[in-house]
Amino acid sequence: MARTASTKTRGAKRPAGTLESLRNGANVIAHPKNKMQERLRRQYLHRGVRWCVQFGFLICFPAAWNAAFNGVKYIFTQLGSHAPIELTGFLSLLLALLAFTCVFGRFFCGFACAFGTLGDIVYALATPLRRTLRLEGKGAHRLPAGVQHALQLVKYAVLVGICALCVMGIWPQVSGASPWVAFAGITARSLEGIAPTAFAALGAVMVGMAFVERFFCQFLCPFGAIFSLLPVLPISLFNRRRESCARGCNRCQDSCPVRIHPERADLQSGECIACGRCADGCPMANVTLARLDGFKRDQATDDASELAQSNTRKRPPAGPAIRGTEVALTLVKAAILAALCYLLM
Amino acid sequence: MRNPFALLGRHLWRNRNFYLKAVNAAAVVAIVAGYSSWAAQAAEADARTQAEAVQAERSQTRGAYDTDGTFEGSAQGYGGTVTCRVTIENGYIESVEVTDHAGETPAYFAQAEGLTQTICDAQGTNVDTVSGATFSSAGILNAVNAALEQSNAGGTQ
Repeated sequence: MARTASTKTRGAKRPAGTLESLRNGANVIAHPKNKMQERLRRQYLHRGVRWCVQFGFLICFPAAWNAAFNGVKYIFTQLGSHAPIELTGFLSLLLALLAFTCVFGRFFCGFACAFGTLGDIVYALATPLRRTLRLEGKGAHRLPAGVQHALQLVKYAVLVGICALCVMGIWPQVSGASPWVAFAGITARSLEGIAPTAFAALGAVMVGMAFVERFFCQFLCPFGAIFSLLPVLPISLFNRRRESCARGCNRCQDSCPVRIHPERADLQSGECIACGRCADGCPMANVTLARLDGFKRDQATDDASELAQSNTRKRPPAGPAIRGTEVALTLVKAAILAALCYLLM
Repeated sequence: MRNPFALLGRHLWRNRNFYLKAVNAAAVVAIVAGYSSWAAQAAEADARTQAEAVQAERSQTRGAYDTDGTFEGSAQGYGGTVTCRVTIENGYIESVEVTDHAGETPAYFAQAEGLTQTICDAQGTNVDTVSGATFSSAGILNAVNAALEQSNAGGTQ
């Protein structure tokens, strides 16, 4: 498509330097008003759909996280007591979620997990507080990326700790203080017999959630640690096509709650929670899922050099791409995940 | 046309992280599955030796229940009457089976039905009810109690 457009430009043989050629040369952002409106419309739509999906899962399956992670604890408890591992309900839910994550990425974390949704709600509600403290907005202090990436390693320690306690068989004695117990008590509307330490832990986590987006998910969640060790099909990872990025635009990383760059190496680290904020925030729609590169690469580089000669800044064509935050795609993933939870819980 | 091996190599290298994690995950799954089947075999062997020991002990002495035979008892469950048939041999509970549970909700009753084996193992009804299926459990336990009373009363059957 871009190829035909470029031939048309050259065929017309417009002289360089005129207003006409400036318009053509800048046709990446042609009709800026429409483009801007389109972008905003898309962002608001996606944001609305994301909140709807998150609330739907929060109301329907508030215990999915706990039930699936119980499968992990069950495995390690059985290992510790030399007992056989049977395919219990928890374990089948766990296996289903792991398989889902291998295929679609950590969509569960981004859209379905009750704790993640709680984090998003707390973060959204605390926005005025952060504004007052000048922690948001222009020139705000943000946690340095290096510190954030280092803190993300804490969750592996949490996972190892919980697994070790399960193997030793003393997890049931200490689990009373886990913030999850308090949260489960609130969602189940029965607060009897829950230790005050559990509420204190939940409160501490919620304070963190108010100041760092997805605080629990990226720093503490042991299930997230397991997810990030899974192989996610490369086709389901967000990917940035850098050729037409505006210089100095860092929107994708700025809007990322876990602060990774939509580049291949970073995404394969497993931290991506597939929330799609990078794709939503991109002014050029450069961040997509599944760019099937390698297929049209040669053609792409040919076209790029051709375009460079014709002195027009146009996006070189690449392989077919699936946009990651399409509403339909999100709803399909949510439907599959909801079906799994419904069948296995 | 590019060299297919070079293309494959490039693909593998670009997605090395994915393939490494895939191998890791497969290894973990294989280890857990292998452990599980080993542990299941060990548990089965354990159960067999235990059963043999119990068998040997039971052939020596007579059990706690007076009359041998098959007895039926009924009790109120969750949605109706639960009837159990208990077989007593040499004074021991040999088997417990549920003959009627028309009024029970199937999913819950399936949970509670595991109690029959528990009763055989414990040689009595002094066992915990199945959590989540309390009423169906109570129905089974009371029905078995009724049957055991018949055995101790000298056997009407």
